Amino acid sequence: MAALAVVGWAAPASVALMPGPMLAPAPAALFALAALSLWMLGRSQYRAGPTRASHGWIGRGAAGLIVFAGALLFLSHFAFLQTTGTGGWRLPVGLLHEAMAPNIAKNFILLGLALLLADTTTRRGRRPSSFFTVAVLLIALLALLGRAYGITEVVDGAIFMPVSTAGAFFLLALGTLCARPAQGVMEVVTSDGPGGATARTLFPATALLLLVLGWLRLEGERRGLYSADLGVTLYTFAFMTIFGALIWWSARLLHAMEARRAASEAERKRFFAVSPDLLYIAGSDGFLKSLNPAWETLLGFTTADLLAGPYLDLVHPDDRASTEAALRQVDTGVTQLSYENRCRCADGGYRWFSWRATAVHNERLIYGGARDITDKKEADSRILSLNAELAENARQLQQSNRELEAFSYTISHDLRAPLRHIDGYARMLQEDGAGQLAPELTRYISAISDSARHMGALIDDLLAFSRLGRRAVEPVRIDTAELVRRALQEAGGGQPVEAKVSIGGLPDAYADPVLFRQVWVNLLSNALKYSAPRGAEATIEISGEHEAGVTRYRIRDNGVGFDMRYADKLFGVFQRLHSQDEFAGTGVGLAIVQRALLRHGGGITAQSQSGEGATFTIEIPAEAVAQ
Amino acid sequence: MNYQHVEILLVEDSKADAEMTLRTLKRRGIANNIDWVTDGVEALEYLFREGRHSERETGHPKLVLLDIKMPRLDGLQVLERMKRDDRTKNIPVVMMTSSREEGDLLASYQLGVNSFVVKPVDFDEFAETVAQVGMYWMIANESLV
Repeated sequence: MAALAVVGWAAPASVALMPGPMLAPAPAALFALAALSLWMLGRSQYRAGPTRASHGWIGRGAAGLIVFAGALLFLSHFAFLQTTGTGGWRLPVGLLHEAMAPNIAKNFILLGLALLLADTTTRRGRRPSSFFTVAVLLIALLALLGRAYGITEVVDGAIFMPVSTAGAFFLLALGTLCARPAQGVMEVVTSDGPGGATARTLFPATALLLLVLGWLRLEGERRGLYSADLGVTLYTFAFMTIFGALIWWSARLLHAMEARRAASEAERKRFFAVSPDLLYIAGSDGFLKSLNPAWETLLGFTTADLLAGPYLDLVHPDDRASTEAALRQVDTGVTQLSYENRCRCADGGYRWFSWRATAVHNERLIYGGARDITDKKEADSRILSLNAELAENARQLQQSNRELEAFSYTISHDLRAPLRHIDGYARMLQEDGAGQLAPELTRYISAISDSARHMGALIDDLLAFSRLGRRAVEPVRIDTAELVRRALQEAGGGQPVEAKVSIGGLPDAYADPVLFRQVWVNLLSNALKYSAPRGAEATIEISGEHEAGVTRYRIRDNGVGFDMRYADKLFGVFQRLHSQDEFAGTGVGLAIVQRALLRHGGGITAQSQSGEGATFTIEIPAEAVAQ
Repeated sequence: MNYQHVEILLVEDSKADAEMTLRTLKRRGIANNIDWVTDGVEALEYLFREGRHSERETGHPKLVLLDIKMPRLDGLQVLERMKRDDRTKNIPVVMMTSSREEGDLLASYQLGVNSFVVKPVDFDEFAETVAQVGMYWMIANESLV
């Protein structure tokens, strides 16, 4: 391709440089114009914008001039031959007539047309320019051959042409062909495939060979080496051999190409057939043209049935509008289509397909494929309905929680007030009747107070227990030692603590602060309560450690302890191992502790010896998992 | 100072609670001039000298003890009205209530309550609480009114 471009440049250059005397003035002028035209047109395709346009106009303008001049000169011969005509015309016509021979003029017309039409394409995509150029080339070739073989006869005036003229024509024609190397006749010659290779090899080779053969025959005959008959025989023989070889070589090339093409076709067919997805070629008329076997497998219709009617017949009525809209996009220039629809199956049902297609405009065809996404669609709708169910459940749960909130609010407010009044009036009675009441009566009144207070405590604890279940666990890193110190204060009820409390090195915990605090307050208040009988001898030891992803703490007191036989009741709601008279309590404290720990994914165990204190061990995961 | 000047306004719908509160305040010598209204509507009439209390003499109570749960207009609504009006927004308000549900706590503080106290069930504790509250707001605290 590059070589040809060079030729395209060299041709006009060499013509332009041809010494003047070799050419007659008129042809010389026109050759110069042609050279200019070719040069301009040749360059125009490597430029852009206004330069390209201006070069093109100059080139075409020059070419137009050539055609005009050539026509004039050609017609002048006819005019001259006619004896009619006014005197005024005869002189210029005569001049024109002398200027150029008719065959040369004809050639210039052809060359001019070739250059003029260099960039024109007919409606069917053909390029006429190259035909004119080839014509010029051939005429020049004939003249040159004649010269080469030393012929001086004039055959219809067609051969007789000075060498320089013929040479100039030849070069310019070549140049013109090279000016547009990828179009018209040159398209095949310059192509990359076997066609181009063949053309590029054979054209020069054959031309050369035949030239030599012809020369051999002529020379042989002229020098009397052999008679004309022998000459012809040898000539024909040589011709046959060479042509035979050439034909065989071409045929073999074509055969190999065909084999490759068939293999590639077979490969394509195999993919087409084996694909589990639908593959098809459809025309822009809405009919399917070519289908792979997957259509029969997935839809159940025979290929014949499917090709018989328009594609839209297969589509679910509800989806037809959207499918049509997607397909119509092709008209707006879109080449990649993608859409979904339902297609009818032979059993009457519908399956979902996801379509992808490419429109090839020149061929007015659509190439595409579809995947059966029925399962995916079903899964999607199942997911949607599950989500809806989930959302509904969550809503109901929230509703439930809201009701519980309202419920405990009521308990909290409305149950406490009467209790307060009971206790209040009982005490007021005691206070005001201090002197007048018998001690027994005072005792009765105390009992009323105590009961009311106890009920208040039960309500508080129940509420705490219930709130525990509803609260979200939001774990954070907690400085347990600090928390324990504060919990101790709360457990002691603000009073200074008599017992000796030792807090060892405690690892940090990963837990919900509110719940965790509640755990410690309850455990510590228990420890204090049940070791209170020891007075100043009461001791509480708190220790803790990390071990294998678990954070563990221990609270040991030397209080009254409990009977291990009833240990399983320890954490039950309202279950106690001591009577109200021995130790006040609601029996909910440890239940709260256990529930709180369970919600962290942890737990609690207890060890005790009656009369020797108790040890409670609590564990939570080092990285708490909320439940 | 005018001895008849009202010192505390008790807004409480429960007669029993009111009786216990009044007894404690008087007995402990914290305040002698205590006015008691039984619901929010009357509380506002009292504070703004409207309706039933249009004849009330000038002056404001030094402290308002406000119950939350009351019929018609509840404690939070009274609180809101009080804090919105320039005439009453500087009067200290102590919310006295049966429960410490978080919602009430949050709402009260957002409206600008000065203090929030839960009424204990135990009478001794109750009396102690009332006494402490009264003592603080009446004696220790410097108020604007």
